[in-house]
Amino acid sequence: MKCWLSILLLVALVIIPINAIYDDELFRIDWQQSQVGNFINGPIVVNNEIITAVTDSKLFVGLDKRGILWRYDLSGEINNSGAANLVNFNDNYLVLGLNRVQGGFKLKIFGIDGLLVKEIVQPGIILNLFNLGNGNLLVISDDRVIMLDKNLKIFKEKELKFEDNNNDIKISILNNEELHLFCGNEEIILSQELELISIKKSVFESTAIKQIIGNKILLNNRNLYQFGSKSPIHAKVEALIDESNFVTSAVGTLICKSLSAINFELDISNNLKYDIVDSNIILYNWNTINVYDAETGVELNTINGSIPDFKNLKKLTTILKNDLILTVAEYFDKEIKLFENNKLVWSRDESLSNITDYTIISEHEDLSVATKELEHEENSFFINAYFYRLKSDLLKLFSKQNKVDKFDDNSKLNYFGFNKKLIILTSNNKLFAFRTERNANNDQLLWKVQLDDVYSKVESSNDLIYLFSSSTVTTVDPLNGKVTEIKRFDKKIEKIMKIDDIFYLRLKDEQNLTIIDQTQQILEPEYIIELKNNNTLVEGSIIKGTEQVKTWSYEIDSTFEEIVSLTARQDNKNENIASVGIVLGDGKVLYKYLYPNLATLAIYNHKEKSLSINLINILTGEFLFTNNHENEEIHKEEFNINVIYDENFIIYSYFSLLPTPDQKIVVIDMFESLTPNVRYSEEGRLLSSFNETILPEISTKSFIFPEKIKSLIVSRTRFGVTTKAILALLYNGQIVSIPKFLLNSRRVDMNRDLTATEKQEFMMMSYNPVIPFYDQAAVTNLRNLMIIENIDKSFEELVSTPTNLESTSIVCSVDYDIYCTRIQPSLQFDLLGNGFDKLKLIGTILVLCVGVFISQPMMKNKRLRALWEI
Amino acid sequence: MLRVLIVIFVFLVSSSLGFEINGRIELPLLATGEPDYTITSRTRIELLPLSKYNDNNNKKILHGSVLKDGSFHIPDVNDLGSYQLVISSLDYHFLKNRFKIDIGDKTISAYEFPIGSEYTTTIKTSYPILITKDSLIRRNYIEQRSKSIIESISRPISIILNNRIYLACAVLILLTALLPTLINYLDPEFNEKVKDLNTQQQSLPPPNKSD
Repeated sequence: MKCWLSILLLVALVIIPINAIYDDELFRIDWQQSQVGNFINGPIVVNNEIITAVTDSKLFVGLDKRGILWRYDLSGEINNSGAANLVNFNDNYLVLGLNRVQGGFKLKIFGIDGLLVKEIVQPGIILNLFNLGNGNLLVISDDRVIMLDKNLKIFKEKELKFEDNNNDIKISILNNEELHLFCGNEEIILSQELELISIKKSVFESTAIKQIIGNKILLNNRNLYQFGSKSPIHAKVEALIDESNFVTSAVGTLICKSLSAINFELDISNNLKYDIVDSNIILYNWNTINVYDAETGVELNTINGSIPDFKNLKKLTTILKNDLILTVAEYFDKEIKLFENNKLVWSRDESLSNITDYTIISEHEDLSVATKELEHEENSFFINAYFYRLKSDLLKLFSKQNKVDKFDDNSKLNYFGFNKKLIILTSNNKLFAFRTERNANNDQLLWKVQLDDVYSKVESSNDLIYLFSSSTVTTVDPLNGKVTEIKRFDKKIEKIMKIDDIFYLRLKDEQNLTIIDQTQQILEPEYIIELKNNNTLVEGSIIKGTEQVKTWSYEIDSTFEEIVSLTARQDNKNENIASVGIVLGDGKVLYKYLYPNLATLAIYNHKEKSLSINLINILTGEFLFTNNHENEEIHKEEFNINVIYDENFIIYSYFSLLPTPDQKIVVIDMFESLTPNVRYSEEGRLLSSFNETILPEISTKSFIFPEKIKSLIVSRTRFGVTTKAILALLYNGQIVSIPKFLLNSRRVDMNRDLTATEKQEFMMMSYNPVIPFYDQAAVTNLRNLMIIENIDKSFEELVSTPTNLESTSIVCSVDYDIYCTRIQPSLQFDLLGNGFDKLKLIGTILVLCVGVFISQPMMKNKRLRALWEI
Repeated sequence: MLRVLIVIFVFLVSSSLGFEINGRIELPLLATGEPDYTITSRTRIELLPLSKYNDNNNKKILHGSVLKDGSFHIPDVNDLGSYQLVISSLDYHFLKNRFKIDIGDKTISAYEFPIGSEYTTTIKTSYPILITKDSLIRRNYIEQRSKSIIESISRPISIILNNRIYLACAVLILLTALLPTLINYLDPEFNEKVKDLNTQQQSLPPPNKSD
């Protein structure tokens, strides 16, 4: 117990000063773009203010004027059809009926605050839900009809077989007594007690029904029927207002009428859309919105302005609340907008709920202002130039921006390289650019453009954005998103390779590679490793100019095996290695194994549920070592396997059921020798990678982490001096930073205390298999990112980019939500803190100067007096 | 309070869809006295088998949702045997959040199962699982920045030091108070002259009242 406590204390002491979010930084250095997806069921409005819907992302969402109120992930429960029924139950509850993955159906009953109140699981397939309006809810499954009372209890049940489950069941209640169920070409009439009254043949299919109110049925072909009638009672009906009134239209006129007479007519020659809400007709014009009483035609309200982009409009939902007109506009390009009296309240582009690829591009400091100032000063008389400089410096010192928010000093952000652009490509071919640094107005979007082609990949190189489609490469200006160049190829692009910022394309049936920018060419031959044949073949090759020659290959047994990761070593040229060894407590050095041209290959065996991690020489294909995990029941289908390879360490994470169901993290540290001060590579002497391979000496330990890991990366800083942090995106929606020194394979045996020498070593501690989750290591702090499982992505969800400050790295997560922040794995050692007060420092210096000024004559006087006394 | 603690759990052993694992989290109270409902939406509940997966089972790991009253239910547990129940919240630490659930022919029993321990654990706990609000510790994601020396000293002084007008007044008063002493040090002769002047003024005869 003592040992355990001491370890926890040590860990706490170690982590507390690392990468914590301070109270004055909360929500000021990070931002989150949350998505909901496009509405597939709904929107349903509750209490005239909350907009609820089930979306194509399998989310149940609630929105209001402030934005997202709740998001409830249904992806783990709802079956592949994704269909769900949502109904407003007496303005008190929202009842969601869904067919489950596990079989049967579930009623999820939410309060209007979005909190789950009750769940009811039943066998069968749910077909529809209907609020009877008398305080009861009707649930129709394929073999039963169930009635729920206002206390959410099943109080009536009746067996009733519906043969064709694909049929859309439409329901109506007549005179608050008879229930009419339309299924296929049958009309089933039930009593309130769910007793079968009769079954009739219907003259139309239930799928043809557009709307039922009372005893009126409107079909998609605009014919209006009455219950029992075999022929339509009216044609060309647009919509039902209530049981007695409906809407028809003629050229330029909207006619509101009952069966017997025309109530009134509205001129719609300038109207673009209309909506019917609670016996009101809302006409959307080019320049106004008009609300009419549907029975009398009296104009109740007029609002100036218009909903933009009518041509692109998919659906309008109107909410009338007192004198306010709220309009939810859904557009074909996946935008959803909310207007209040025609003024935009919020806009959401749900294209971002389907991201194809992303990249980060650096934004260089705009020096044009400084250059202009210098030019002005050089061309002015020296006194004028002096006062000009004095004025501009004073303005900068006392500028409003400086006083209001120290976090948003744009020049500082640019200077320190914090301002980068996150470029996101979506499946509907929109390209978005977000600033990675949080903006004070929370307006992260810099620009977005709709592209003309179908692109599958976005990359950045030499301050330009490159988009790749099946046969074109498009260059985009990162400043404004404008296309600057399009290169078309006659043949299909099969592979895109980026080597030293140069793009190589392998075109179909082409022997040689194609370089996008012909002026660039690698002079040195480059060895590469790639996956082929549907990830069943690893192939090594050499690129000389545009010629690619295969050197070796390794094929796995594709029957049971799958390559889950091929990770080349980061920083292959060893440019950002701060130290070549680890200094031990006694001053001796363990030399890191920094051999370049290596990669890790993770192979998963579906049959054995096992994993093997291999270290491969890219040049020769030689396997340097293998770590096997057998009999552990590893399940990659449910939780990802992640591998990172950096400097001299490999870290990988996987979830296994045995020996206990836990998230495991394995660390492999590689050294030239585990004997201190022994080094095989000599400084300045070149080793041949072909015949002078030095095998690493391995130190390895495995750890247990309390949460499931979705993605894993290493923090990147400019020179690699800052302590490395391992960043993990968790399935619970958090990003956590684990210092590398915690994931140290050389941590000493937990059953003994550290020796005096071991205590001298940097952050050496006793081994404990459990890496505790320390709250302040959560990079996302109070935020929660939406993680939707079972979505295959072709990109790594997490990315870390260095800034101009060695201490600071930008971290972005692009999963369902988009999130960016900055981290300082070794604290902010090269930047003054936000609490630093320049004025107090200047004041202190001034007080000291005054002190010196006063004390100097005093000292002289004292000395003089002393001399006279002598 | 007692009413909240005394909860009746319904244990559906023979549900048509298999077993159901039940439990309840007592909702912690906010400073306002209202229950903290965020725990219901920001808590994950997972049930994992402590053996190889059954090939017939489509979904291997089962999830439960926390209802507004704090109760949770995991249906569809199709096989007898041992399971691990993990409850984790984004807002609270639970003193006990991992349990081993043994499903027998007629009974379900629960054991404590701390992370990193062997699953031969024998510390029995109540079933249905009850997590009391006393066993919840609010997570603290935010570090308080250490105060500067000026901020950390006593309040009246820090108020003066942090307000420019007060500071200017204080400096002025201090300088006025210290001025005679300073002059004495800087120019003793001037001080002497002032003293002489004072003495002369005091030695003058008092003014005539009739004037």
